[in-house]
Amino acid sequence: MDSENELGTVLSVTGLCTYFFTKKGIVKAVDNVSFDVRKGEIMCIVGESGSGKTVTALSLLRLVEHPGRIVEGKIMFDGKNLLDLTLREMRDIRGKKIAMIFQDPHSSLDPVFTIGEQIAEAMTAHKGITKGEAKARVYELLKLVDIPEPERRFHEYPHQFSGGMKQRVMIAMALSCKPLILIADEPTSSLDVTIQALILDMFIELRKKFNMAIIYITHDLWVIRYISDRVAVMYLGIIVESADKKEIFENPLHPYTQALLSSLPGKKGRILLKGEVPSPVNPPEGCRFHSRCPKRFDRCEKIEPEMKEVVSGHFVMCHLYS
Amino acid sequence: MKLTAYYWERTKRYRSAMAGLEFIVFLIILAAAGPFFTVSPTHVDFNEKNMPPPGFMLEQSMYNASSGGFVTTVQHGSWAHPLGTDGMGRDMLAMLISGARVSLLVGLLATGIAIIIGALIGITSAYFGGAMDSILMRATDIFMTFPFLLLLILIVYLFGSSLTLIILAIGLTGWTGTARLVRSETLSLRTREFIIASKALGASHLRIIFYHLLPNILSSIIVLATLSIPGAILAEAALSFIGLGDPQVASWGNILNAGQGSLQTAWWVTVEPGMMLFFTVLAFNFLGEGLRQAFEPGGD
Repeated sequence: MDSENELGTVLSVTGLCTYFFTKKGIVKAVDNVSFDVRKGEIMCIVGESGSGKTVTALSLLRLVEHPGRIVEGKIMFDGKNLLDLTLREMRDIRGKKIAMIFQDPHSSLDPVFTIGEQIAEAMTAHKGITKGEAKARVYELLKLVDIPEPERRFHEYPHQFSGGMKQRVMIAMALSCKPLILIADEPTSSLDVTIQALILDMFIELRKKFNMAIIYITHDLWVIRYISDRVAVMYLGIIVESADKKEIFENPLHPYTQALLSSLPGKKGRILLKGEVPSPVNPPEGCRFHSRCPKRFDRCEKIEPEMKEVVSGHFVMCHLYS
Repeated sequence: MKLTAYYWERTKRYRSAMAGLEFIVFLIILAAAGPFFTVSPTHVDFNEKNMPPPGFMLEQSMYNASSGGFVTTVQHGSWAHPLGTDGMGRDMLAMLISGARVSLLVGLLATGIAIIIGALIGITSAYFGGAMDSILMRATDIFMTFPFLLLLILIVYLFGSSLTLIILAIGLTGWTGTARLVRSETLSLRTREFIIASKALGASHLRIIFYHLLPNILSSIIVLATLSIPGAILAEAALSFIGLGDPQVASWGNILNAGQGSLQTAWWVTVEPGMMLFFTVLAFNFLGEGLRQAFEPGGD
């Protein structure tokens, strides 16, 4: 989407297709998705449940499990296509270069090890460092994510931590190897709002400190407005629109984005969509959104629209603009 | 508090489990140190055959060397043999201690072998899934349906009877239950987020298996192991009882077998090893049950 050789692109995804081969048929969870991530930016992927956000994120690290498979595409990172790497090479990328934080902090930590042991493990998995060094580094990381009394907390188990604290630990683990890209899959959706704001501030601060890019996956428009630099909107396995945050919020082009943004409180003229998201096993022909689109016309039902750069840096996949 | 300390505190609350543990510790000390304080368990003396424990007596016909014939004499118990002697005049206490060694050895080693094989097969099966899972689980099913005693008899028939062989045979056939349990526990764990999270942090398969999966199912494995030890002990005893045990060593099963003929007169020859088996099996079951309850989530 963005011009190929733009400065500071750390990750470039083109034509990514991840399908799930189930007994009911092929689920095209991610279908021909392309996007770039620039150095140090926070890019949000937004979409409703089942739109393929999480599968996109898992595909980047090649963590899609059976019966899912990455069928096609290119994920360029550090001059290499991640999809061509061996599993061993891929392991070196995971955690070290690209780290990931998951949705539910309560189940993301191993219940039988102390917090300190787990963060140290994340480091020793990659670097040949001694236990003493690891311990000192863990204290440092715990301080970095604002966990008070790290010396005591080091020896505690996950069940002794609150949700927000656990998510901080997850962030500390993810940061332990200073990754270039941090993928955060709805890291705050299970936390209450005050904690959520603190964690979001932490992301913004850490992004600056480590100069790392963050791919932030969420369905929460409020979060997007708070932290994102750029936004990609997903619907039924495809990215339908992407642009800078300001552009998206002020000038949404795709009818789906418009409907999505109209749901923000305080907005006038709420657009209500009819029906539900169609099954990804048999996505509608033509434009995937046409069955629910308030602005559809003949062409939408037959021909799949192409991604068009309407304004500089603002891409949209809709027949209205072609 | 470390988790191990926490679970120890919880296990301590179950009195039956602690009684079981105490008996097991007592048995281990007995088996380890006992042979240094008793006469040889294989020392035969027909002049002292079927000697009852002190306080009891038995009227039986015995060979008299001076007259060269059998005379009926009354055999009194003596403190030289506090638990009496068997039909060949061997010291019961020494034999029971030797039997404790055999039983503990069989129980621990055979269960160890079975648990290791079962855990590896179960984890591999569940973690890698797909064709691997199908093959390993069908193999487990086949193993499960195989008549275990028949196999043991066949092994003893083919290779002769030795304790090592019996331990191996019990261990190599007893892993199916463990494999199934470990598989099901692993299945529920492998899709948990912390496993995916550690993959996302670059952990290898081996690291995930040994660092995350195994410690998380360790509690179930410990309980299962404790509860399978009696099975192994009883299997050896059963084998010895039907005369297929190692004839070189005095095991509780062997003694039972030897004593069954004189059950009506020299009752102690069978009752004593029987009691030992009973209490040992009970002790392991109590301990296992207590551990199971201690490892159960909640209840605080």
